[in-house]
Amino acid sequence: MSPGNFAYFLPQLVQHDVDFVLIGGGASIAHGLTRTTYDVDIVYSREPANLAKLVAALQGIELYYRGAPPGLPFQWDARTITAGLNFTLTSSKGDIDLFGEAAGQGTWGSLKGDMEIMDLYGHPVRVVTLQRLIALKRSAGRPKDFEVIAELEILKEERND
Amino acid sequence: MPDPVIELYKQGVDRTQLRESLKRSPLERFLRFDQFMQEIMELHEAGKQHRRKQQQGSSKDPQDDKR
Repeated sequence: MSPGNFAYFLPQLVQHDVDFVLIGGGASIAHGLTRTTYDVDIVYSREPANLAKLVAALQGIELYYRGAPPGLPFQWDARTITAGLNFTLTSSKGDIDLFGEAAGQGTWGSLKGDMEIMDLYGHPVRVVTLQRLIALKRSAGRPKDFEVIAELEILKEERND
Repeated sequence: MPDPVIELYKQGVDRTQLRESLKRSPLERFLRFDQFMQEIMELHEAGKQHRRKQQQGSSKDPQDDKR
């Protein structure tokens, strides 16, 4: 177990000017859910310039595929990101999931209109809106998300959205 | 149109916790989360150490205590 370290990853990504948006459990917490989560989930832009920034932001923290047997060739560079799309990674700073596309058409381009800026750890962080977060969770269709969706729906009611 | 499954799950949600959470800023929510996770990790580590000690105890030669 290596819990995601929001206090490390979010400032690091913002400081490197990475185009990303916080989704998943982190976004749920940001909107008001009182749940635990074990990784930082983000959707990132696949623009080549952004991939270079993403590589720089996560340099030097011993990244590796989460759950994979040791010894696989893994190089954290733009070539690796270009060849893949979604990465579930573990690191010396905790777990992080990088999505080129999350379930429910969750690409950077499609999420652009559904983000809000929140001040987190002294940095402006883009967080997916509550409405879109619910839509993403619904699209994922995982039974384990039913309880989360119910809580997010109630948050929406309580906020009078 | 409401999803009947989600509507069923909504009946079990503790709204008071969510209302309290909504009074906090997003950063305050994360700081509470960080503290909570820190405590979970400390418990996790304490459990690991306890199990290790138990294993060491059970693998010890029972005659050691008599010597």
